[in-house]
Amino acid sequence: MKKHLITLCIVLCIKNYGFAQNSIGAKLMAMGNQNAAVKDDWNFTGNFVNDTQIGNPILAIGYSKYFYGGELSDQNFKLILPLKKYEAGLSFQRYGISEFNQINAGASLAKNFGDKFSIGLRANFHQLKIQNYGSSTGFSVDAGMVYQINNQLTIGINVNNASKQTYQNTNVAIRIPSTIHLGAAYQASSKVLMATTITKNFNEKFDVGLGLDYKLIALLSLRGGITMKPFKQYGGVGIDYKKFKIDLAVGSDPYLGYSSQMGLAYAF
Amino acid sequence: MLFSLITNAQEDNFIKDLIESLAEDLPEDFDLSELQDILTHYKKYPININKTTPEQLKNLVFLSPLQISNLFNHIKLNGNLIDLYELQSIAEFDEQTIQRILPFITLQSSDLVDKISFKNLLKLSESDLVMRFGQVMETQKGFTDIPGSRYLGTPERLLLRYKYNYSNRITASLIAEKDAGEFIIGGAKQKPFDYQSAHIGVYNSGKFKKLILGDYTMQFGQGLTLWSGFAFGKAPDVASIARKDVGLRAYTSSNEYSFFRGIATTISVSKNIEFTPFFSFRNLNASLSLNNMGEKVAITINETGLHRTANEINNKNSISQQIFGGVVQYQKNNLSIGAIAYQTKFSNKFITGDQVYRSYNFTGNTLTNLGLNYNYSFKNIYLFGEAGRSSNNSYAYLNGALISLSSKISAAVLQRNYDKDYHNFFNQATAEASDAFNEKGFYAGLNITPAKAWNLSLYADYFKFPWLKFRIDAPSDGYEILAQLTYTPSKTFKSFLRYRTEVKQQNTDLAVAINYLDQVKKESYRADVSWKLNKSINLQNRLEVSQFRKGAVKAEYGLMIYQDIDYSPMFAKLTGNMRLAYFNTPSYNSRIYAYEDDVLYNFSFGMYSGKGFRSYLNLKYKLAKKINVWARYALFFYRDVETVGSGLDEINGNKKTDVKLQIRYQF
Repeated sequence: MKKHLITLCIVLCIKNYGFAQNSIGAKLMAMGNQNAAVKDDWNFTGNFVNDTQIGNPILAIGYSKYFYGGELSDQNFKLILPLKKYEAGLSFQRYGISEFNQINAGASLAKNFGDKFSIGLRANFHQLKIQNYGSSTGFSVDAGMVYQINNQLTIGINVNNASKQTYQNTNVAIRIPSTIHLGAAYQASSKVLMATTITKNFNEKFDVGLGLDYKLIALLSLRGGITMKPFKQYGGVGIDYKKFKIDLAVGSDPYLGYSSQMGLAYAF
Repeated sequence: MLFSLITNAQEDNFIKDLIESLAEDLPEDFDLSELQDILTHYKKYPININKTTPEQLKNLVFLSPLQISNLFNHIKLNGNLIDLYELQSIAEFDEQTIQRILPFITLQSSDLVDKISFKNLLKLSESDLVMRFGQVMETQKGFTDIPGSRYLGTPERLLLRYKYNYSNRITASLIAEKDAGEFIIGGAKQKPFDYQSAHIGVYNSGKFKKLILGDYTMQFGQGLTLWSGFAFGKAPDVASIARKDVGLRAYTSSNEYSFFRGIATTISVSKNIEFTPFFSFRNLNASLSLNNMGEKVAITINETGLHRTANEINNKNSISQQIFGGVVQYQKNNLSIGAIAYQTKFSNKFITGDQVYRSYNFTGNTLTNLGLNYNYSFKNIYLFGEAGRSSNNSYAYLNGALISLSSKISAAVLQRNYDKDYHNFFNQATAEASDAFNEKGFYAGLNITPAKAWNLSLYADYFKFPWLKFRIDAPSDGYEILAQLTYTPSKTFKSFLRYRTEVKQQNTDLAVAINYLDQVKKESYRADVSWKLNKSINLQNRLEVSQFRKGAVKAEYGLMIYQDIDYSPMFAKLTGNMRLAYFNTPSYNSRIYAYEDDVLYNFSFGMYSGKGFRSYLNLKYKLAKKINVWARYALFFYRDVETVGSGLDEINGNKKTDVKLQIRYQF
């Protein structure tokens, strides 16, 4: 029980750091949480607008593990269905331990305006469950857009829970995070993608992230990134083999130690 | 002629930029003349690019190991270079690199006259004699008649340096120096000067590639096992994180600590293998105390080389150090591997002392160090690393890579892990702390040139100190981030913005029973513009703001602003430069450093702390064809203070004036 209490503390601490609120996939994590302007089908929740650029239906599953927290983990899956000018997505994410967990189910719709501009909206259903205590639910809306300035430069913005929705049960101190992400991605060459994101979690300081994706060979990408507040380093690899994509990421937090994430995606 | 003048200015600026980026992490008074010497030498005797070796090119500090490796691959594939502008076709050789390298290389063979004969030695050799005088004009407390500790010698600083070079086949040097407060001649433990250094070197003589008798330095691998003297580390030029070892070299600097004294040679054993055996014996400064066995023991070596007070003179040469060992280097194609083994033996034992943070320091009087280093380049990736072992069974290792991601972006990464009890007296590996032990860390840097005139350099370094340190009573960690954006639209205009932040921990300033650690955050913002007003005048302006915050105490901000004017018309006998700076920092914590122009061979970076003005004037006059004279007048003018400096350096009043005179005769 003591161990679980410690884990619970850590879970709550992380919440306060604005950590692991929404799984953003191993690729974007490895680049230092670049969830505003980088195109990635692993992006479950962060930047769904980019999914409009993906041609085929995609099924993706992901798993995150936090080394410091015993069984603390995050599981998620996402299904993307491209329609003509639209793209629909369904996502599901579970985060926590058996005594404490959060579920986030989302439905998203994005629309393309020409080749360069797209916007998207997502509705989320949140559920919080604490053993021997009860559960509560909530609802939030995210919105975002992406604009490709030229072949090299893309900018993006997205806002999570702008209306500051909360859990229904007012006894719950845990918030549904309200964040804004403003990012830019720079395709320096066919092999190198760099990206930066400024994140503002309402009530918290600005965080700046910087990341890089280097396609060493067609099959293999190497990634690295940092975020400034708190200072964290990230790294990872991506394997792109035919219809499969495998991504691995590791993040290092000076206080909380390492966390890892892996993802598998299949394009039909 | 015109070309060389332009490149001269560029090279000087380059050295200036380089040193400025290092200054904040170097101890004050670090002698960087070595760096300038080498560049000056190769400007005079350009390297034949078709006949050079990686070892020789490593001397050009601005070349990255990846560029060096690419150059040799190019020559191997395409044959000798026919035109120097062919460099443009080599990967990683950008315009800036080519501009920098041109003054130092040639395609012409210059090895016509290098037969060693008595006649040649006299007629075709070159000598360089430098004499320098310097003094603080105000009387410092240590020179007054005070009871207790005071400076026994005289207040002037003197340097005499003679260097001889015959076609890179034979070199020799003689150096004598005295610091302020030391005796000129006749002081205790002086024969005859406080510091003197000499060497004779013979090069490329049969199997003996180098043979040096006297004072020498050695730099191998990444500096973890055997490296004396100057080393680059974290700098806006992110590639500088990979060390370029130049092996054995004669020592001609006035730094009194970082060298070996004895004999060393590098022998070509076979085409790919070199062997460098060495022996050194010298005396060092240490404060000795008696242990319970009645033996005289030391805690640390004093590296300052200052012998001004009775105590400092007493500690002079109080301990002897004997070193012998060897280095084997193997190089073939893109791979080099080195193995190092040596033993250091002191006349007296070392103890750790009472302070807990020193608990893992070296004890005893004998230390054996082993090391293994490598570098390998493959396509656009250069890998490097080193592992070191000390005889107490402790290890240190580092591994890194330079990667040219595209023509516009290059990256550098370095991972390091140094045991808290890794002992080595010649360890200069990349580290956050001044010595590479008790540290783990990961460094990542990027250099981006998105468009021709723009350059963005970034690095982030996270470090962890597993054991306590001075003023840090618990394991601690921290990080450093630097970002620099440079805009160079033309050859006559350059500007940059730099942001640097460093977060570390340190004992709280509060009086508590058990010290806890407070977060210490240092930030600096720098804006700099330099441009050419006309053919004779260069201007430079800088604005810098520093921030210091410790724990919950409110942050303090420091400010510095300066204007530099450089007047050097072509063919003029008299040239000069000056600075006027205003600074205002609430305390020493928010101090600001800036490079200062000085007389040739002397580097200084001013520390701007407190509130006041700084000004200096440097003049150079060409007295005769072979004789140059330099003069420098520098002044600190503080506001709202009654004394300047601390301890024995304290001056009554609010001014500190320093003058220097230097004469150089080349024959």
